[in-house]
Parts: sequence; C-alpha cells; structure tokens
Amino acid sequence: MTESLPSRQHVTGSASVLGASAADEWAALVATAVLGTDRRLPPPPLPGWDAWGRAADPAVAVLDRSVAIVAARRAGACPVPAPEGVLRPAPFDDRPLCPLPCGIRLARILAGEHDVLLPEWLALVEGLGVQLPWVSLPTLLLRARRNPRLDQVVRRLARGRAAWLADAVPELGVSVQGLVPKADSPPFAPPPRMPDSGAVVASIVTLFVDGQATWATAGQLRILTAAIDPVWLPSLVVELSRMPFQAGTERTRADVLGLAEFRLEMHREIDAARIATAPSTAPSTAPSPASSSAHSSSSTGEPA
Amino acid sequence: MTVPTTTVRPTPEQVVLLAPDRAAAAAATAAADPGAWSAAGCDDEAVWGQYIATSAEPYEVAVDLGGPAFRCSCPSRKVPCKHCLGLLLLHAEQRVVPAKRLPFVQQWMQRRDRHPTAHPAAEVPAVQGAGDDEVGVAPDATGVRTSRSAVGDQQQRDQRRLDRAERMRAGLTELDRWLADRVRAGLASPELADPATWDRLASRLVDAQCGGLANRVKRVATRVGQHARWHEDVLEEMAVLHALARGALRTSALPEMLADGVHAATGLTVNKDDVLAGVASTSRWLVAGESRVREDRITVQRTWLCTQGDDPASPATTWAMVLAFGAFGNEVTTEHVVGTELHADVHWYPGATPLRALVGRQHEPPAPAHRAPTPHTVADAVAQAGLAVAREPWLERYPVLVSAVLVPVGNGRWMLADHTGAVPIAPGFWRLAEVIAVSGGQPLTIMGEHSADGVMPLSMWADGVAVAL
Repeated sequence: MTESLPSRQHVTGSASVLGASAADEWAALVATAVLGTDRRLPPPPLPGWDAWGRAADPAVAVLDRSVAIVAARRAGACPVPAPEGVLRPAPFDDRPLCPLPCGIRLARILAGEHDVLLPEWLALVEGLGVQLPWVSLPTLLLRARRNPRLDQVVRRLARGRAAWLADAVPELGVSVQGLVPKADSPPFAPPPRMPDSGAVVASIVTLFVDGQATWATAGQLRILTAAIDPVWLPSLVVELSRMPFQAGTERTRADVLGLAEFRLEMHREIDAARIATAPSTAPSTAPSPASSSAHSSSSTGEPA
Repeated sequence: MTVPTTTVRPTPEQVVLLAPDRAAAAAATAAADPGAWSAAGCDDEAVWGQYIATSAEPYEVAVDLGGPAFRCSCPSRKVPCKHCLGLLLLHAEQRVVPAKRLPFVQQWMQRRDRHPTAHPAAEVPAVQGAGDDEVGVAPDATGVRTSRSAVGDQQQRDQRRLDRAERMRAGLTELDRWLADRVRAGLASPELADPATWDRLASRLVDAQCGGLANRVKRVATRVGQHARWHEDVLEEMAVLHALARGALRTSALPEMLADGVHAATGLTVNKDDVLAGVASTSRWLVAGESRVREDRITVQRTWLCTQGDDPASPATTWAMVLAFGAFGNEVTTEHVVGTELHADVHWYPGATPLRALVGRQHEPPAPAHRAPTPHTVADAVAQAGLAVAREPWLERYPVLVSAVLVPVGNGRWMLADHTGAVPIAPGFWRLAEVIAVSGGQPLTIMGEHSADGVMPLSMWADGVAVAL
C-alpha cells in the first residue's frame, strides 16, 4: 500500500525544472544520508552547488547542502504541464439549481439529522424539478450502494451525472450502470400520508399529556410524525412546545418536536423554492404537495 | 496621612510623550475613543475608566495623575499601555467628567497613599507599585519621560528572558547536534523508525520552550516509512529543521523581518496587544477557507482571509491567517464562517512573509459574500507560493486561489490543472468526490493550502456560493 505513494519530488516534478545538477546533487546527498556519513563521506558538491557544505563535519555539510537544494526546489517549484482531455465533462443538465436552503437541509439529513426524512426530501425535490445539490451526490450514491431502490431514485434525480461521477471516480466504489433492485423490495418513497392526520396529532398529544410517551415509544412517534400530513405539523409543533415539563416524557418530547420542526422547515423551504421557480405567468398552477394536502385537509376541517 | 494635591491637566502632547514606543502612541489614539469607555471619571488626583475590549471583561484602567502612575488589567507588558494613554488623552481633551471613584480606583489609590514612595513629593527616585500591574513614570522637567518603573520587576523580567533564551539556546544546539548525529548514523538506522526517538527530541524541545520546532519534529516523525522513498522526505524536513536551528541561534545577525520569522517558527510568541498596536490594514476581507489539524491534544484551526485589489483582470490577493486553538475537551469554535465578508482591521504578526494575523476592530457585522473571489492561474498561484517560500524556506503552507479543472493522473491521485500547468492535490484529501461532483468536469474556483505535498483544497465556489471542504 505504501509502495504506491510517490515521494514529493516525484509528485511535483520540480526537481526536473532545476536541472540535472540539482537532481544529481540531491540523489548523492540522499544516498549519503541513508547510509550515514560514518560509512560514506559525501561526494564533492557539483558545480553550482559548491557554495554550501563547507562545514568540517561531513554530517553538517550534508545538512547544509540539503538545505540549499530544498530551499531552491520549494521556492522554484513549477506546475507540471497539464494533462489534457482526461476527464470528460458531465452531461449537460438544463434544470434549475437546487436552492441553497434545500441543499443545506439535505446535507443535514445525510449527516444523520432526522434521516427518516430522506425519502420525503427526495420526493419533494423531484416534484420541484431542480438539480440535486451536487456536493451531496457522492454521499447519496455511497448510501445507495446497499439500497438499490434508493440508487434508482438518486440516479433518476441526478440524471447522467451519477453515472458520470461513478465512472470518473472509480475509487468511490459505485457502480456505473446502477443497481438492479429485487422485485419484492419495497420502494424508497416517503410513507403514505395518513388521511386522518388530525386524529393522529391529537393522539400523539394525548400520549404526552397522559405521560405515556416514554422513550420506549419514541421510535413509533417519530414514524408517525414523519407520516402525518404536513398541514398538521404546525399544530403538532405548537402543542408540543407548550407542553409542561414532565420528567418521564421530556426526552421524547424534545425528540419528536425536533423532528416536527425540522420537517416543517423542510416543507417551507420547498414551498419557497416552488414559488421562486414557478413561471410568472401561472404562479398558482402548480400547488405543492404540502399545499395540496392543505387543501384536502382543510376540506376535512381545521386542526383542533 | 497624605495631603491631596491638585494636579495640572496634561496636554495631549505630554501624554504622547509618555508612550513607551511609537506603536503604543498610535494605538493610544485609537483607544481614546469615548465609545470604547464606560464609567470613565476623574477627580483632582486620578482618572479612571473601564475599557471595553474584545475580551469578556472590560479592562480596569486607572492613572494617578500625581505620579503619574498607571494601573491597567490588560495583559500588555508596556507601561504605560495604550489604554492608560488613551484614557489620559481623553482626560487631556476634557472628555472625562468628574465623578465618584470606582471601588477598584479607591482601593488602588488608598494603597498608593499608604505606600511611602507613592508620590514624587517624597523625592524617591523609583516607585514599586502596589499591584503587579502598576508602574510609575515621572516626566522630568524637559518633558522627556524618565522611567521610575519597578527596578526589581524589570530585573526579574530580564532574568526570566535571559533564562528562557538560555533554555532555547540549549534546545536549539541539541536539536542541531541530534540532526547531525542522525545523518552521521544514517537514515536507514532502525532507531529512526522508533517513534520514541522523535518523541524524546520533541519533549526536550518543549522543555526548551521551542514549541514550534517540537511540533515540526512530530510531523517529520509521521513521514518515516510512509512510502518507499521516505528518506528523501525526512532528509528534506531535517534540512529545514537544521536551517531553523542555525538561524535561531544567530537571529541577531539576520535581517529584522527574517529574524521575526525564525522566532515565530521556533515558537516564540508575540504579545497580542503588541500585534494589535501595529498598523492595521482595513479592508473587506473574505473568509476564504478554514482548516483544522489535530496536533497532539490540541486542535489548530487556520482561517484564511483574503482581500483583492481593484484591478478586475488580475487582482492582487492579500492573505491573512487567523489561528485559533482548541485544547482537548474544549473544541475550537468557528469565529469566521467561510463565505462571509468582514469589513475589519487586520494586524499582521511580524515576519518576512506576513501571514499570521489578528482581526481587530470590525467596522460592520459579517455578511455573506455575494460573489466568488477572482482566482489566479495555477502558475501564478504557485509562483506566489514560491516567492513566499524563498523569503522563509521553512514555510509549510501558503494559500492559493485558483480556477482549475480536476484531472486524474492515475493511482488515485488527482491534479488541479489549467492552461498554465497542474499541481497535485495533496494526499489525505478525502472530499475529492464532492469537488469532482460539483465541478462536473468544468473549471472550479478552489481555495487551498499549497505545500510540498501539493494543494489541500479547503473551499470551493459553486455558482458563487462558497462551500467549505
């Protein structure tokens, strides 16, 4: 493994710029230093390098001469000629860029913050019709290596850039063609919206009021919070925020409240991006999933 | 009991004459800003106030006009410090109103009253201050300041300085001898592969108060056995250490700026107040990149600020590096966020290549920068780095800002390339795939640290938005 790493001199190629005398002088000094001046005295300096190394002690002379070479090589380092045409450009993508807040939100999700929301984020962005935030593409592809359904979604959203990246960076270990999911594997999609989200929110709040929302129930409550219709998220946030402190449920409350707030912010960012990217001629013809849900929910009644 | 004496209000010119040096006089003018003071007051004998500094607590400043004698809780070793001078300037300009003494002023003045040598009327040539931070200075008849500072304190300080210089000299001599011994015995000697060999040397350098050199030695140790030709890397670093040790033993013979650079590299620290007392560069500074390195138990954070000239075609880029340290369990905080812009004063530490700096007064709150900085070509960036290394050959890294495409060169290595050439990306950069994904094979503005190993990218700009790496 370590054999494959080139030395600095080989990497920068700067010694070649200094000319053969510097390379020869350096090679002689390295050979002497490796063996030790007790075994081998340094050869006399080559022309151009004889101003240094006048010390009586051969070891000090080797160090003095090395300083001259190192200083000259570092200060005179030049770029090597650029290799040409090795990396082909990624396929052109005419979609708008992903809005910055949405990209930051994805990075937070991928960093482990409420990653239960990843399917929903991907679905919302797909509906928005924007590019993926490319900085997160490698992480998404790496995460999808064990989940062919996610791989499908990511490649669909990334269009040709996923395959391009996998081909360009083989060290990433991502398949260029993509993974084939098993027929019976579940789709990588957000959980279906609960038709009775209002009742679910009321149930969650009741659990906290009754002191039954212990940490053991947190996982289930998180799944419910991730599945309720987004129009009910503000109600849930308000109810959980004004809940009095109970030692037995406080940890769960903070956890569920954090998720609800995070998801609510996510929907707001997507809605803002949708308004920003909507054609000016028809600003209200493409309602968001959140707003469409709002319509459907409002027909069933406002949150209590 | 002493009889209160009415003193004459000094003129601003007399106050400036009290300054220990020109830098302190200049800094005092800046400190004489009424907005920077709270609870400032005066009476016939003293003037006092609290200077609102960047630290958590304001500095308590008091001046006994009868001496005059000075008291300030700031860490500056200068007497009088810029805060005392600034307060006196305010007083001289009649911008300090009479008020009741603050408790710390009351206590200090009482101690001075009790002290037999507190007032010049006692005709005692030197005054030993009541507090550690108090020193008296008496203007003589000609207006030229005459130091009555605590002779004992000065002697102790001189002795400490001499002791430290002697320890450093011993450490540097030992380092140079150790290096020669290694070359004498050969780099192939198994002793060199033992980390304890390097650790012992680093510990001795720490004892000798050469912390900068100790860290370098530890970094060299990590290069042993890293690849087949590691001897070249190690000899290279040993040669630089040899140059530094020799240079540090002869700083008096070096040009001033070079000597300052040697001092910084060996680990001699410069007082922050002294740096802040220097001439500031006021500009709009872009926070261009940030790197964090774990050294032993300390996290070292380097924040790179840059400002560019007015020429849009090829703007000259000026760099400043703000260092921050986080000890184990007390992580370093990000004070300046990458991609933001500061309108601030920057003060550089002395050195042949001014890089390390302190951010002084910020004139506006930081705000997100709305455009990417203008990058340089790869050749220009490398040439600038080379110029800096020519001035200080021990310089380990220099910032570069380039627009380049990423090009694979095989074996998992990549380069940053443009029409002027290519430089390798330093090994150990683990976010390469993200940079490539963002670039899409097109040129990308990248800021990084150029070193002997290549360029370590720290940030990139995608569609004008900075992304920290």
